[in-house]
This record gives sequence, structure tokens and C-alpha cells, in this order.
Amino acid sequence: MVQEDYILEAEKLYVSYNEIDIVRNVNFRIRKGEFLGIVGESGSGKTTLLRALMMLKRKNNDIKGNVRFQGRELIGLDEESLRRLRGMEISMIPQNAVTAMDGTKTISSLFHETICMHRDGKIRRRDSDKLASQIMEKMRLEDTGRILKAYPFELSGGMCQRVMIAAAMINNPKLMLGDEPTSALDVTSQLQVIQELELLKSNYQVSMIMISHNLGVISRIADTIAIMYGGRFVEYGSHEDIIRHAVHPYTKALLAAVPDADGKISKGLPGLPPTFEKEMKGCPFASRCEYCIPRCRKELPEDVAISLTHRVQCFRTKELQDDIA
Amino acid sequence: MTLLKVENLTKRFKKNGETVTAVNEISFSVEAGECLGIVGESGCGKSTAANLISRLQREDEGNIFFEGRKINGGFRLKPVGRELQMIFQNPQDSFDPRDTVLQGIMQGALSYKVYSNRELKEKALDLFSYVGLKPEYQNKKTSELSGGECQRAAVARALICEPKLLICDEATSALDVLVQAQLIDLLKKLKNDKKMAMIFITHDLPLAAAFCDRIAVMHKGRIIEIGEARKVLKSPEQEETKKLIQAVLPVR
Repeated sequence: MVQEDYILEAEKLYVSYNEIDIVRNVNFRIRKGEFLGIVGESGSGKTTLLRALMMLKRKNNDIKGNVRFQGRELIGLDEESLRRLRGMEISMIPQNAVTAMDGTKTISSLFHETICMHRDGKIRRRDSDKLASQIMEKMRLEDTGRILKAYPFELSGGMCQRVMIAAAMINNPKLMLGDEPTSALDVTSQLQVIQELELLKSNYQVSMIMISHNLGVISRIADTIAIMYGGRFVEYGSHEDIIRHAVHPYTKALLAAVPDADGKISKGLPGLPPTFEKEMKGCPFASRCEYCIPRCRKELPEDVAISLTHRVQCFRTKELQDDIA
Repeated sequence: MTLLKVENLTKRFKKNGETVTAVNEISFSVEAGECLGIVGESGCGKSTAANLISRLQREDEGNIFFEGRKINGGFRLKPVGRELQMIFQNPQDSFDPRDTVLQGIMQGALSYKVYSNRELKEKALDLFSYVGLKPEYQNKKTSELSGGECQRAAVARALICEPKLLICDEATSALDVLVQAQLIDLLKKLKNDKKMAMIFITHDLPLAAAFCDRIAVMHKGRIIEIGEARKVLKSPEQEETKKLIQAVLPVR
């Protein structure tokens, strides 16, 4: 079957809070070892989407559509099966590792718990320490003995994040989800975390979905990039499609907001992302878009496929493409 | 004219019985209307340096001159407090959560008792449009604003004092790239309209180069390189500076 080539498939995914859709009609699928980067501003629905992929629900949270993990439908799956999946097959790295760890427990006990929670049967601390050292050494973390004995607050933010990635890998998951894992770090530790993720990609064949607001970070590691705005994937394509041949005006604004090698930065995009309402008319980006035509305010643009890998939600795709050419 | 002059500024902290020199004999000056970027990785002492200049912390050695007057030696914030304002990394944390946005902005100049309450309110409302905040936000709490909007309010709170020097301590690091670009726009406007001098602290060297006239690179408490912004970005002299530039990931 063709389906089994894909680790994760999301079809017509809608996620709502209090009956207001936050994620709207998201479609994508990723292969084994593929790295999908989702880029968008605060409040574009990135984290909501990521949580929904793990079926982590909050109160009044509803997930509709299809999410298939290795061909198995996750929506409607019982809590116990989901618990087995999480941490074992799908794991998540949070934005702020220091606060995500239990401050009263050592790193050694973090690894021990992670293993005990998800593998059947108990494991001795000595054995879990050994496994933890092995995986940390593979991630090129030095002085693992000291790290294991340390409490989270004794490590730097960057180090905690790297330990967290190692802990997320300890059960050899097939899919890793990263919720802005580098945005709380300064540039030097950010680079170290990115290098560690690159190592994962080459050594473990793990698929990854990472969200970030920084296109620079995403462009360094992602194979596929999705641009999220107002809960939708307004542009989706391969690394090349998005970085070299971006069509959507919002993608272009994002690309221009990162200072380039000459230290030039574009004028910021005025306005704010839309607030979510029950009925939203027209294109979510219309009010900030310089290419907006009357139609954009009335109708919602559907996906337009430009190539096999590249699709855009914009009425003026054709003209904008001609502009580039 | 030299607005700020820092000479051999040193600050030591005691940590687990060891003495750490956070800021180690740094010297530099900021001209009126000039924007100086201070760049370095976490823990290099850039925030401590900012806190020393704005008198939030007390130095161990060295001198700070503001418009030729020595401002250090004891906590003498009042004489220069109005002229030297600061904005911080997390805008929400820097406001009293019980205040409305308007009260928060007025708070900036309240303690200097130069303006009457009515004057202050007028000034604050003028600043709303200047920094790009909607006037209807005035009665909201700062926690109801987005990060970018709240940082604009923090800029307004600094501006109400009509400062000559604005210190931005990682003021854009917690923001999205697009909001960051908007805030940089606002700071550029201040620089051009009001000829305000600034110290812009960040770990992102290309960002500093996009906006500052000169850049000082700090490493382990010392300034290891200082020069014209383009020159530092394009032909850095020190290894540590090169590392910092390489660590910023460009879109490619």
C-alpha cells in the first residue's frame, strides 16, 4: 500500500477551542526521515496544531479531520493507546526545557523515568544511566557523568535543551515534534541545538516536525517548509520552493524580516495577525497584503498547486509568479 | 558631543565562593544621537554593563560620565534618571500588572514630578499614536496586549521622560521576526526624528549591524572589538566575533 510510505498524514485537519477553529483545513504528509518546518507568527496556530498531532487536548478542545500515524488513525483512539504512542513512537521537545523538567530531580532520574514510563517493566538506575550516557555521547554531549548527576538548574539553557532532545530520543521514536526548541536560546547555543538536530537526522532516520518563527533556523534543517497564517498553511513546498521561489506575499515578508548577510533588514510588515472568529470572511492575510484585490476580502483562496511539491493559497498566484519570472 | 563616557568599568559577583568578573574594565563612549550596539553571547556581561550604566547595579571600579557629569559613586539615579531610560527583554514583566496601559506609560515620569497629572496624561496619549498603539488600548491591562504591542508601550514609557539616551536590553529577542522588524522600524524613527542616542544590546550581530552605527563585541566581560557596524560585520578581527556572526543562521 502506498499509504505506508508515510509516517504521518494529516488530512482536512481542524482544531477548535470553544467552537472557534484555530487550525483550519491543514493537509500534509511526511515520509520517514523527512523534516517539516512550520513557520508563522505568534498566534498563527502553530502550537495548537502540534499539540493536536499528539492528540493532546485541553478543555473545550475539538480535533476534526484525519491524522494517521503509520497508517493508523489517531483521532478517536483511546487514552491508553495514545499514552503508549507518546514518548515511545512520537516524542516532543518543548520550547523551554528548564521549566519542562522537574527541578527537584536529577537528569539521571529524568532519563530513568522516561524509560520506565514507556517501556514495560522496570529498569535499574545503573542500566538507565548507561543508556542515557550512550545516547548523550552520540549527540556529542561531553562529560555525561556530570550531566547525569546535575539538576536542571545547574545546567545552562542550551545544555538543558540538548539533554531534553537526548531524552526525547531515548525510546527511539519514529517522529519527533519540536515546539520552538531554539527560540529561548541565544545564537551560539541555538547553533549547537541545531547541529544536534542535524546529527539526529543523519544518524537515526527520525522524522521531525519543528515549528519556529525564524525562517533562518528552519531553512537550515528543513526539507519541507509550511508557512502558517491565520490557522492555515498559506504556502507549502520543498526547501527550494519556499526559499528560492516563494509566491505568497506573507512568505516574502517573513523572508525579508531576517537580517541578511549585509546587515540589511526590510521594513516590518504593518498590522497584526487576525484574531480568530467563528466566521472568517476572505483571505486571512487580506488586511495586511499589498497585492490585495476586492475578491480577497470576500472569498477564501483554496490551495493552488504550482508544482508537484509546491502549493499556495492566494488568488493572485499566477500574477505573483509572473512577477518573479 | 560625547553623551556618555564609560571608563574602566568593572563589576564582580561572588558565586559559590568564587569571584566572577562579569564586567572587566570596559571603556567606551556614546556620542549624542549615536546608536551603539553591544553584542555577545549569554553571560558575556552585556546586561550587567547596561544595568551599571542605568544605575540599577553598583560598580566595583570605574567611572561613568553623562554629559560630562560623573553619575556613579552611590545610587544617584534621580539626577540622570529622566535622561537615561531603559527598555527590557520581557515587556510584560516590566509593567505593574495592576496598571492599565495608560497608567503604566505615565508611571515612567511620575516620580520625577516635573509634569502635572493632566500634562502627563496628554503626553502619554500623544505617545500612543507615535509608537503605533491604538488609542482604545489605554484602559486595557498590559497583560492583554501582545508582546510586540507591550514592547511599544514600554518604548512610550521611556519616551515620556524625554530621555537623551535609551538603553534597549535584548528588547527584540522575545519577539517574532516580523514584530521585531516593526520594532526596529520604530527605533529607527526615534533615531531619525528625535536624534536619540541608543545602546542596543543583542546577541544577533547582523541585527545590530542593520540598525547601529557602531558595534562593541563583548566576550567574558571584556570588549574585544569595537568599530563601525558594517566593518565589524564584514571584516571581523577577533575569532569570537566571527563565531558570533556564523552562529546566526541566514535564510538560504
